[in-house]
Amino acid sequence: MLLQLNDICVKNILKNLTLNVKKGEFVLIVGANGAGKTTLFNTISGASSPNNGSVFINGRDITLLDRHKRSAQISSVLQDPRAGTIAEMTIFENLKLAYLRNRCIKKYRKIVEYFKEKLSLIGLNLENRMNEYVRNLSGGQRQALSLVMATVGDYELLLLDEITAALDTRTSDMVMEITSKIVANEKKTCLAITHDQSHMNLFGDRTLKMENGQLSGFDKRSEPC
Amino acid sequence: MFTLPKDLEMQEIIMSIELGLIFSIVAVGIYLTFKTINFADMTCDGSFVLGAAVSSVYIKMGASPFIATFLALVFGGLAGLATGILNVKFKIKDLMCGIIVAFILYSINLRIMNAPNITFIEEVTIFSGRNTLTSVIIIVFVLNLALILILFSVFGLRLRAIGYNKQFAAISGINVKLMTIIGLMLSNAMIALGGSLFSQYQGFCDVSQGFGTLVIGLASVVIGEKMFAFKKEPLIILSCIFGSILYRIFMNIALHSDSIGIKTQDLNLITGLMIIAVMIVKKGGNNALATQ
Repeated sequence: MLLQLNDICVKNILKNLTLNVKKGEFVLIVGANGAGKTTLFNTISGASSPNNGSVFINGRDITLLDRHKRSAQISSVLQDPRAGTIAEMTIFENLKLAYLRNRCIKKYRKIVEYFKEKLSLIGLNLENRMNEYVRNLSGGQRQALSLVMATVGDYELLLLDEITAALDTRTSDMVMEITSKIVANEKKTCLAITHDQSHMNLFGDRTLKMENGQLSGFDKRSEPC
Repeated sequence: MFTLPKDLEMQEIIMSIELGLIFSIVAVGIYLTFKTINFADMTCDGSFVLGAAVSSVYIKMGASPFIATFLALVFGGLAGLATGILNVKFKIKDLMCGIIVAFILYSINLRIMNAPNITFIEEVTIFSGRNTLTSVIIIVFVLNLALILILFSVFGLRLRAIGYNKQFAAISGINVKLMTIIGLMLSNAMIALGGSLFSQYQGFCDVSQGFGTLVIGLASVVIGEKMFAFKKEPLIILSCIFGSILYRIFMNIALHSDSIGIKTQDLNLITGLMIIAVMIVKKGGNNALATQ
Protein backbone atom coordinates (compact mmCIF):
# COMPACT_ATOMS: atom_id res chain seq x y z
CA MET A 1 0.00 0.00 0.00
CA LEU A 2 1.25 3.47 -0.77
CA LEU A 3 -1.07 5.32 1.59
CA GLN A 4 -2.63 3.88 4.71
CA LEU A 5 -4.91 5.70 7.12
CA ASN A 6 -5.65 3.65 10.23
CA ASP A 7 -8.50 4.58 12.57
CA ILE A 8 -8.10 8.31 12.06
CA CYS A 9 -10.09 10.50 14.46
CA VAL A 10 -9.99 14.31 14.21
CA LYS A 11 -12.15 16.03 16.84
CA ASN A 12 -15.70 15.13 15.90
CA ILE A 13 -15.09 15.48 12.17
CA LEU A 14 -13.32 12.26 11.16
CA LYS A 15 -14.52 9.17 12.99
CA ASN A 16 -12.28 6.08 12.94
CA LEU A 17 -11.58 6.59 9.27
CA THR A 18 -9.60 3.87 7.51
CA LEU A 19 -8.35 4.11 3.94
CA ASN A 20 -5.84 2.12 1.88
CA VAL A 21 -4.57 3.37 -1.46
CA LYS A 22 -2.46 1.12 -3.68
CA LYS A 23 0.53 2.35 -5.66
CA GLY A 24 -0.57 3.79 -9.01
CA GLU A 25 -4.22 3.89 -8.02
CA PHE A 26 -6.51 6.92 -8.51
CA VAL A 27 -8.98 7.29 -5.68
CA LEU A 28 -11.75 9.86 -5.81
CA ILE A 29 -13.48 10.92 -2.61
CA VAL A 30 -16.84 12.60 -3.08
CA GLY A 31 -18.78 14.26 -0.31
CA ALA A 32 -21.04 17.16 0.54
CA ASN A 33 -19.87 20.28 2.35
CA GLY A 34 -19.09 19.55 5.99
CA ALA A 35 -18.51 15.83 5.40
CA GLY A 36 -14.87 16.17 6.51
CA LYS A 37 -13.13 16.16 3.12
CA THR A 38 -10.81 19.09 3.81
CA THR A 39 -10.01 17.72 7.28
CA LEU A 40 -9.01 14.47 5.60
CA PHE A 41 -6.84 16.41 3.12
CA ASN A 42 -5.21 18.33 5.98
CA THR A 43 -4.53 15.12 7.90
CA ILE A 44 -2.79 13.52 4.93
CA SER A 45 -0.87 16.64 3.89
CA GLY A 46 0.19 17.35 7.49
CA ALA A 47 -1.60 20.68 7.92
CA SER A 48 -3.27 19.20 11.03
CA SER A 49 -2.57 16.21 13.24
CA PRO A 50 -5.15 13.54 14.07
CA ASN A 51 -6.31 13.04 17.67
CA ASN A 52 -6.07 9.33 17.14
CA GLY A 53 -4.86 6.89 14.47
CA SER A 54 -1.89 6.89 12.14
CA VAL A 55 -0.90 7.84 8.60
CA PHE A 56 1.55 5.68 6.65
CA ILE A 57 3.27 6.38 3.33
CA ASN A 58 5.08 3.40 1.80
CA GLY A 59 4.88 1.68 5.18
CA ARG A 60 6.50 4.62 7.00
CA ASP A 61 4.58 6.25 9.84
CA ILE A 62 4.31 9.97 9.03
CA THR A 63 1.60 10.86 11.57
CA LEU A 64 3.83 13.24 13.51
CA LEU A 65 5.87 14.45 10.54
CA ASP A 66 5.70 18.21 9.78
CA ARG A 67 3.92 19.34 6.62
CA HIS A 68 7.07 20.59 4.91
CA LYS A 69 8.80 17.26 5.49
CA ARG A 70 5.86 15.35 3.96
CA SER A 71 6.05 17.47 0.83
CA ALA A 72 8.96 15.36 -0.47
CA GLN A 73 6.48 12.52 -0.94
CA ILE A 74 3.09 14.19 -1.00
CA SER A 75 2.43 16.81 -3.63
CA SER A 76 -0.68 18.91 -3.03
CA VAL A 77 -2.95 21.14 -5.08
CA LEU A 78 -5.09 23.44 -2.95
CA GLN A 79 -8.70 24.54 -3.46
CA ASP A 80 -7.88 28.19 -4.00
CA PRO A 81 -5.42 28.92 -6.82
CA ARG A 82 -4.41 32.10 -4.94
CA ALA A 83 -3.22 29.97 -2.03
CA GLY A 84 -1.45 27.46 -4.28
CA THR A 85 0.73 29.98 -6.12
CA ILE A 86 2.62 33.17 -5.31
CA ALA A 87 1.21 36.08 -7.29
CA GLU A 88 4.23 38.33 -6.65
CA MET A 89 6.66 35.85 -8.20
CA THR A 90 7.12 34.81 -11.81
CA ILE A 91 5.84 31.52 -13.27
CA PHE A 92 9.45 30.30 -13.35
CA GLU A 93 10.06 31.20 -9.68
CA ASN A 94 6.85 29.41 -8.65
CA LEU A 95 7.88 26.30 -10.56
CA LYS A 96 11.39 26.51 -9.13
CA LEU A 97 10.07 26.64 -5.55
CA ALA A 98 7.83 23.63 -6.23
CA TYR A 99 10.72 21.70 -7.82
CA LEU A 100 13.06 22.50 -4.94
CA ARG A 101 10.83 20.75 -2.41
CA ASN A 102 12.83 17.57 -2.86
CA ARG A 103 15.46 18.20 -5.51
CA CYS A 104 18.41 20.48 -6.17
CA ILE A 105 18.86 22.50 -9.33
CA LYS A 106 22.20 21.65 -10.91
CA LYS A 107 21.87 22.80 -14.49
CA TYR A 108 19.79 25.92 -15.03
CA ARG A 109 19.23 25.44 -18.78
CA LYS A 110 18.10 21.84 -18.30
CA ILE A 111 15.57 22.87 -15.68
CA VAL A 112 14.12 25.61 -17.92
CA GLU A 113 13.60 23.00 -20.65
CA TYR A 114 12.02 20.63 -18.14
CA PHE A 115 9.58 23.31 -16.95
CA LYS A 116 8.72 24.25 -20.54
CA GLU A 117 8.02 20.63 -21.35
CA LYS A 118 5.73 20.31 -18.31
CA LEU A 119 3.89 23.55 -19.10
CA SER A 120 3.38 22.61 -22.73
CA LEU A 121 1.27 19.65 -21.56
CA ILE A 122 -1.54 21.91 -20.38
CA GLY A 123 -1.73 23.82 -23.67
CA LEU A 124 -2.12 27.32 -22.24
CA ASN A 125 1.05 28.72 -23.79
CA LEU A 126 2.49 29.37 -20.32
CA GLU A 127 5.80 27.90 -21.45
CA ASN A 128 6.42 31.09 -23.41
CA ARG A 129 5.46 33.33 -20.48
CA MET A 130 7.76 31.93 -17.80
CA ASN A 131 9.12 35.33 -16.76
CA GLU A 132 5.65 36.79 -16.35
CA TYR A 133 4.27 37.45 -12.88
CA VAL A 134 1.61 34.99 -11.71
CA ARG A 135 -0.65 37.92 -10.73
CA ASN A 136 -1.24 38.46 -14.46
CA LEU A 137 -2.82 35.00 -14.85
CA SER A 138 -6.53 34.24 -14.57
CA GLY A 139 -7.90 31.96 -11.82
CA GLY A 140 -8.08 28.98 -14.19
CA GLN A 141 -4.55 29.55 -15.49
CA ARG A 142 -3.28 29.81 -11.93
CA GLN A 143 -4.97 26.56 -10.95
CA ALA A 144 -3.54 24.87 -14.05
CA LEU A 145 -0.11 26.20 -13.03
CA SER A 146 -0.65 24.78 -9.50
CA LEU A 147 -1.29 21.38 -11.10
CA VAL A 148 1.92 21.58 -13.10
CA MET A 149 3.79 22.76 -10.00
CA ALA A 150 2.52 19.75 -8.07
CA THR A 151 3.95 17.41 -10.68
CA VAL A 152 7.45 18.86 -11.09
CA GLY A 153 10.19 16.93 -9.34
CA ASP A 154 9.68 13.66 -7.51
CA TYR A 155 6.66 12.67 -5.45
CA GLU A 156 4.77 9.52 -4.46
CA LEU A 157 1.23 10.80 -3.98
CA LEU A 158 -0.67 13.56 -5.74
CA LEU A 159 -3.29 15.09 -3.45
CA LEU A 160 -6.01 17.22 -5.04
CA ASP A 161 -8.32 19.18 -2.74
CA GLU A 162 -11.48 20.37 -4.53
CA ILE A 163 -9.37 21.96 -7.23
CA THR A 164 -12.37 23.41 -9.06
CA ALA A 165 -14.28 24.70 -6.01
CA ALA A 166 -13.12 28.29 -6.44
CA LEU A 167 -13.67 28.38 -10.23
CA ASP A 168 -16.68 29.06 -12.48
CA THR A 169 -18.19 26.21 -14.52
CA ARG A 170 -16.34 26.98 -17.77
CA THR A 171 -12.96 27.38 -16.09
CA SER A 172 -13.70 24.35 -13.94
CA ASP A 173 -14.20 22.21 -17.08
CA MET A 174 -10.92 23.49 -18.50
CA VAL A 175 -9.05 22.66 -15.28
CA MET A 176 -10.63 19.19 -15.15
CA GLU A 177 -9.54 18.54 -18.73
CA ILE A 178 -6.00 19.61 -17.84
CA THR A 179 -6.13 17.40 -14.73
CA SER A 180 -7.09 14.36 -16.86
CA LYS A 181 -4.15 15.07 -19.17
CA ILE A 182 -1.70 15.43 -16.30
CA VAL A 183 -2.96 12.37 -14.42
CA ALA A 184 -2.81 10.26 -17.59
CA ASN A 185 0.71 11.49 -18.29
CA GLU A 186 2.08 11.13 -14.75
CA LYS A 187 0.72 7.64 -13.94
CA LYS A 188 1.25 8.27 -10.22
CA THR A 189 -0.89 7.49 -7.18
CA CYS A 190 -3.56 10.13 -6.84
CA LEU A 191 -6.15 10.99 -4.21
CA ALA A 192 -8.68 13.59 -5.28
CA ILE A 193 -11.29 15.14 -3.04
CA THR A 194 -14.36 16.80 -4.52
CA HIS A 195 -17.95 17.79 -3.79
CA ASP A 196 -18.81 17.68 -7.50
CA GLN A 197 -20.45 14.34 -8.32
CA SER A 198 -19.95 14.89 -12.06
CA HIS A 199 -16.24 14.17 -11.55
CA MET A 200 -17.11 10.56 -10.67
CA ASN A 201 -17.52 9.73 -14.34
CA LEU A 202 -14.28 11.44 -15.33
CA PHE A 203 -11.74 10.05 -12.87
CA GLY A 204 -10.76 7.35 -10.57
CA ASP A 205 -10.12 3.65 -10.35
CA ARG A 206 -12.20 3.83 -7.20
CA THR A 207 -14.77 6.31 -5.94
CA LEU A 208 -15.53 6.61 -2.26
CA LYS A 209 -18.33 8.53 -0.65
CA MET A 210 -17.66 10.60 2.44
CA GLU A 211 -20.46 11.15 4.92
CA ASN A 212 -20.28 12.30 8.55
CA GLY A 213 -16.53 11.82 8.73
CA GLN A 214 -16.58 8.26 7.41
CA LEU A 215 -15.91 6.67 4.04
CA SER A 216 -18.31 4.34 2.30
CA GLY A 217 -18.81 2.96 -1.21
CA PHE A 218 -17.44 0.35 -3.58
CA ASP A 219 -14.84 0.45 -6.28
CA LYS A 220 -15.64 0.04 -9.95
CA ARG A 221 -14.92 -3.67 -9.78
CA SER A 222 -17.51 -3.93 -6.95
CA GLU A 223 -14.94 -4.77 -4.30
CA PRO A 224 -15.56 -3.51 -0.79
CA CYS A 225 -13.29 -0.58 0.02
CA MET B 1 10.23 76.73 -7.28
CA PHE B 2 11.69 74.76 -4.32
CA THR B 3 15.02 76.11 -3.02
CA LEU B 4 17.27 74.78 -0.27
CA PRO B 5 17.34 76.85 2.95
CA LYS B 6 20.20 79.38 2.80
CA ASP B 7 21.78 78.34 6.11
CA LEU B 8 21.99 74.65 5.06
CA GLU B 9 25.69 74.06 4.43
CA MET B 10 27.37 71.42 2.27
CA GLN B 11 28.86 69.78 5.35
CA GLU B 12 25.35 69.27 6.73
CA ILE B 13 24.19 67.65 3.50
CA ILE B 14 27.19 65.29 3.63
CA MET B 15 26.29 64.47 7.25
CA SER B 16 22.73 63.76 6.15
CA ILE B 17 24.05 61.37 3.51
CA GLU B 18 26.31 59.64 6.06
CA LEU B 19 23.47 59.28 8.57
CA GLY B 20 21.12 58.24 5.79
CA LEU B 21 23.53 55.48 4.76
CA ILE B 22 23.93 54.27 8.36
CA PHE B 23 20.17 54.23 8.87
CA SER B 24 19.69 52.53 5.50
CA ILE B 25 21.09 49.38 7.15
CA VAL B 26 18.29 49.69 9.72
CA ALA B 27 15.74 50.37 6.96
CA VAL B 28 16.83 47.26 5.05
CA GLY B 29 16.56 45.25 8.28
CA ILE B 30 13.03 46.53 8.82
CA TYR B 31 12.18 45.81 5.18
CA LEU B 32 13.37 42.22 5.65
CA THR B 33 10.86 41.56 8.42
CA PHE B 34 7.90 43.77 7.43
CA LYS B 35 7.97 42.95 3.73
CA THR B 36 10.18 39.98 2.92
CA ILE B 37 8.96 37.62 5.66
CA ASN B 38 5.75 39.60 6.42
CA PHE B 39 6.40 39.79 10.16
CA ALA B 40 5.46 42.95 12.06
CA ASP B 41 8.61 43.00 14.19
CA MET B 42 8.80 45.67 16.90
CA THR B 43 12.11 44.37 18.31
CA CYS B 44 14.10 46.96 16.37
CA ASP B 45 13.84 49.78 18.94
CA GLY B 46 15.59 47.43 21.38
CA SER B 47 18.01 45.70 19.04
CA PHE B 48 19.22 49.05 17.65
CA VAL B 49 20.35 50.09 21.15
CA LEU B 50 21.61 46.56 21.86
CA GLY B 51 24.05 46.86 18.96
CA ALA B 52 25.09 50.32 20.10
CA ALA B 53 25.48 49.21 23.73
CA VAL B 54 27.53 46.09 22.97
CA SER B 55 29.95 47.86 20.63
CA SER B 56 30.24 50.92 22.90
CA VAL B 57 31.16 48.81 25.93
CA TYR B 58 33.76 46.84 23.97
CA ILE B 59 35.23 49.96 22.38
CA LYS B 60 35.38 51.64 25.78
CA MET B 61 37.26 48.57 27.03
CA GLY B 62 39.80 49.13 24.27
CA ALA B 63 38.77 46.22 22.04
CA SER B 64 39.12 46.36 18.26
CA PRO B 65 36.18 48.34 16.81
CA PHE B 66 35.78 45.66 14.14
CA ILE B 67 35.34 42.94 16.78
CA ALA B 68 32.99 45.25 18.71
CA THR B 69 30.92 45.83 15.55
CA PHE B 70 30.86 42.10 14.79
CA LEU B 71 29.67 41.38 18.33
CA ALA B 72 26.88 43.94 17.90
CA LEU B 73 25.81 41.99 14.79
CA VAL B 74 25.80 38.72 16.75
CA PHE B 75 23.85 40.15 19.70
CA GLY B 76 21.30 41.66 17.32
CA GLY B 77 20.87 38.23 15.75
CA LEU B 78 20.25 36.79 19.21
CA ALA B 79 17.53 39.39 19.86
CA GLY B 80 15.87 38.28 16.60
CA LEU B 81 16.23 34.67 17.71
CA ALA B 82 14.40 35.48 20.98
CA THR B 83 11.52 37.12 19.08
CA GLY B 84 11.41 34.21 16.64
CA ILE B 85 11.28 31.57 19.38
CA LEU B 86 8.47 33.42 21.17
CA ASN B 87 6.47 33.48 17.95
CA VAL B 88 7.25 30.07 16.51
CA LYS B 89 7.59 27.96 19.66
CA PHE B 90 5.15 29.66 22.02
CA LYS B 91 2.70 30.90 19.36
CA ILE B 92 2.72 34.51 20.63
CA LYS B 93 1.56 37.00 17.97
CA ASP B 94 4.33 38.69 15.97
CA LEU B 95 3.52 42.20 17.15
CA MET B 96 3.46 41.13 20.80
CA CYS B 97 6.74 39.15 20.58
CA GLY B 98 8.62 42.20 19.31
CA ILE B 99 7.12 44.51 21.93
CA ILE B 100 8.01 42.10 24.74
CA VAL B 101 11.59 41.54 23.53
CA ALA B 102 12.16 45.28 22.96
CA PHE B 103 10.82 45.93 26.48
CA ILE B 104 13.15 43.31 27.98
CA LEU B 105 16.07 44.65 25.95
CA TYR B 106 15.80 48.03 27.67
CA SER B 107 16.86 46.40 30.96
CA ILE B 108 19.45 44.20 29.24
CA ASN B 109 20.96 47.25 27.51
CA LEU B 110 21.19 49.06 30.85
CA ARG B 111 22.90 45.99 32.30
CA ILE B 112 25.37 45.86 29.40
CA MET B 113 26.16 49.57 29.59
CA ASN B 114 26.05 49.71 33.40
CA ALA B 115 24.94 53.34 32.95
CA PRO B 116 22.24 55.16 30.97
CA ASN B 117 24.85 56.42 28.50
CA ILE B 118 28.46 55.94 27.40
CA THR B 119 30.69 58.53 25.72
CA PHE B 120 33.77 57.46 23.77
CA ILE B 121 35.17 60.47 21.96
CA GLU B 122 38.84 59.52 22.47
CA GLU B 123 38.56 55.78 21.73
CA VAL B 124 39.32 54.22 18.38
CA THR B 125 36.16 53.52 16.38
CA ILE B 126 35.57 51.96 12.97
CA PHE B 127 35.68 55.48 11.48
CA SER B 128 38.89 56.66 13.23
CA GLY B 129 41.55 57.83 10.75
CA ARG B 130 39.27 57.20 7.79
CA ASN B 131 36.96 59.31 5.67
CA THR B 132 33.55 58.68 7.26
CA LEU B 133 31.54 58.96 4.05
CA THR B 134 33.83 56.57 2.16
CA SER B 135 33.79 54.07 5.05
CA VAL B 136 30.00 54.15 5.31
CA ILE B 137 29.60 53.77 1.53
CA ILE B 138 31.90 50.72 1.53
CA ILE B 139 30.09 49.09 4.49
CA VAL B 140 26.63 49.71 3.02
CA PHE B 141 27.73 48.54 -0.45
CA VAL B 142 29.30 45.28 0.76
CA LEU B 143 26.44 44.52 3.14
CA ASN B 144 23.68 45.14 0.65
CA LEU B 145 25.47 43.37 -2.18
CA ALA B 146 25.71 40.32 0.06
CA LEU B 147 22.05 40.63 1.02
CA ILE B 148 20.89 41.02 -2.59
CA LEU B 149 22.90 37.93 -3.56
CA ILE B 150 21.33 36.04 -0.65
CA LEU B 151 17.81 37.10 -1.68
CA PHE B 152 18.45 36.08 -5.31
CA SER B 153 19.65 32.63 -4.17
CA VAL B 154 17.48 29.57 -3.51
CA PHE B 155 17.56 30.43 0.20
CA GLY B 156 16.35 33.95 -0.59
CA LEU B 157 13.60 32.61 -2.85
CA ARG B 158 12.38 30.46 0.05
CA LEU B 159 12.65 33.36 2.49
CA ARG B 160 10.53 35.55 0.20
CA ALA B 161 8.04 32.72 -0.32
CA ILE B 162 7.17 32.54 3.40
CA GLY B 163 6.39 36.25 3.36
CA TYR B 164 4.03 35.96 0.42
CA ASN B 165 2.25 32.72 1.14
CA LYS B 166 3.00 30.56 4.18
CA GLN B 167 0.61 27.79 3.11
CA PHE B 168 2.24 27.52 -0.30
CA ALA B 169 5.68 27.64 1.32
CA ALA B 170 4.79 24.70 3.58
CA ILE B 171 3.54 22.51 0.72
CA SER B 172 6.71 23.43 -1.19
CA GLY B 173 8.79 21.82 1.55
CA ILE B 174 9.91 25.05 3.20
CA ASN B 175 10.35 24.95 6.97
CA VAL B 176 8.32 28.10 7.62
CA LYS B 177 9.16 28.24 11.34
CA LEU B 178 12.90 27.97 10.80
CA MET B 179 12.88 30.47 7.94
CA THR B 180 10.91 32.96 10.09
CA ILE B 181 13.55 32.70 12.82
CA ILE B 182 16.41 33.08 10.32
CA GLY B 183 14.69 36.11 8.76
CA LEU B 184 14.27 37.74 12.18
CA MET B 185 17.89 37.03 13.12
CA LEU B 186 19.14 38.48 9.85
CA SER B 187 16.97 41.56 10.22
CA ASN B 188 17.84 42.30 13.85
CA ALA B 189 21.53 41.65 13.22
CA MET B 190 21.41 44.37 10.57
CA ILE B 191 19.48 46.75 12.84
CA ALA B 192 22.00 46.18 15.65
CA LEU B 193 24.82 46.82 13.18
CA GLY B 194 23.12 50.10 12.27
CA GLY B 195 22.93 50.95 15.99
CA SER B 196 26.59 50.12 16.46
CA LEU B 197 27.69 52.27 13.51
CA PHE B 198 25.44 55.12 14.64
CA SER B 199 26.92 55.17 18.16
CA GLN B 200 30.47 54.99 16.75
CA TYR B 201 29.61 57.79 14.34
CA GLN B 202 28.51 60.11 17.13
CA GLY B 203 30.89 58.72 19.81
CA PHE B 204 28.02 58.32 22.17
CA CYS B 205 25.51 55.69 23.19
CA ASP B 206 22.32 56.30 25.11
CA VAL B 207 19.92 53.65 26.38
CA SER B 208 16.94 55.55 24.94
CA GLN B 209 18.42 56.32 21.52
CA GLY B 210 16.41 53.50 19.96
CA PHE B 211 13.13 55.33 20.46
CA GLY B 212 11.53 55.88 17.07
CA THR B 213 13.95 53.61 15.15
CA LEU B 214 11.05 51.65 13.68
CA VAL B 215 9.26 54.78 12.47
CA ILE B 216 12.43 56.22 10.92
CA GLY B 217 13.13 52.87 9.24
CA LEU B 218 9.57 52.65 7.93
CA ALA B 219 9.74 56.24 6.68
CA SER B 220 12.88 55.36 4.71
CA VAL B 221 11.25 52.23 3.29
CA VAL B 222 8.05 53.96 2.16
CA ILE B 223 9.89 56.97 0.69
CA GLY B 224 12.24 54.62 -1.15
CA GLU B 225 9.44 52.41 -2.46
CA LYS B 226 7.50 55.45 -3.62
CA MET B 227 10.31 57.33 -5.29
CA PHE B 228 12.48 54.50 -6.64
CA ALA B 229 10.22 51.76 -7.95
CA PHE B 230 12.49 48.76 -8.61
CA LYS B 231 10.49 45.97 -10.20
CA LYS B 232 12.60 42.95 -9.22
CA GLU B 233 11.99 42.22 -5.55
CA PRO B 234 15.51 41.82 -4.08
CA LEU B 235 16.49 45.09 -5.81
CA ILE B 236 13.86 46.94 -3.75
CA ILE B 237 16.59 46.94 -1.08
CA LEU B 238 18.28 49.66 -3.13
CA SER B 239 15.17 51.81 -2.78
CA CYS B 240 15.46 51.49 1.04
CA ILE B 241 18.99 52.93 0.84
CA PHE B 242 17.96 55.86 -1.36
CA GLY B 243 14.83 56.35 0.78
CA SER B 244 16.91 56.56 3.94
CA ILE B 245 19.27 59.18 2.46
CA LEU B 246 16.32 61.21 1.14
CA TYR B 247 14.60 61.02 4.53
CA ARG B 248 17.68 62.49 6.26
CA ILE B 249 17.98 65.25 3.66
CA PHE B 250 14.25 66.07 4.00
CA MET B 251 14.62 66.23 7.78
CA ASN B 252 17.66 68.47 7.52
CA ILE B 253 15.83 70.81 5.19
CA ALA B 254 12.80 70.81 7.52
CA LEU B 255 15.01 71.67 10.49
CA HIS B 256 16.38 74.67 8.60
CA SER B 257 12.93 75.95 7.76
CA ASP B 258 12.46 78.32 10.71
CA SER B 259 11.02 80.87 8.30
CA ILE B 260 7.87 78.77 7.85
CA GLY B 261 7.62 78.13 11.59
CA ILE B 262 9.08 74.61 11.79
CA LYS B 263 11.12 73.97 14.95
CA THR B 264 13.39 71.14 16.15
CA GLN B 265 10.65 69.75 18.40
CA ASP B 266 8.46 69.22 15.31
CA LEU B 267 10.74 66.44 14.00
CA ASN B 268 8.42 63.55 14.93
CA LEU B 269 5.39 65.46 13.66
CA ILE B 270 7.07 66.04 10.28
CA THR B 271 8.27 62.40 10.08
CA GLY B 272 4.77 61.09 10.83
CA LEU B 273 3.10 63.43 8.35
CA MET B 274 5.66 62.51 5.70
CA ILE B 275 4.96 58.77 6.14
CA ILE B 276 1.20 59.36 5.99
CA ALA B 277 1.55 61.50 2.85
CA VAL B 278 3.73 58.92 1.08
CA MET B 279 1.45 56.03 2.06
CA ILE B 280 -1.69 57.85 0.93
CA VAL B 281 -0.25 58.70 -2.48
CA LYS B 282 -0.41 55.20 -3.96
CA LYS B 283 -0.13 56.04 -7.62
CA GLY B 284 3.11 55.03 -9.29
CA GLY B 285 4.75 53.01 -6.52
CA ASN B 286 4.62 49.59 -4.94
CA ASN B 287 3.41 50.89 -1.56
CA ALA B 288 3.94 47.41 -0.14
CA LEU B 289 3.77 48.51 3.49
CA ALA B 290 0.68 50.62 2.93
CA THR B 291 -1.24 47.66 1.60
CA GLN B 292 -0.28 45.30 4.43
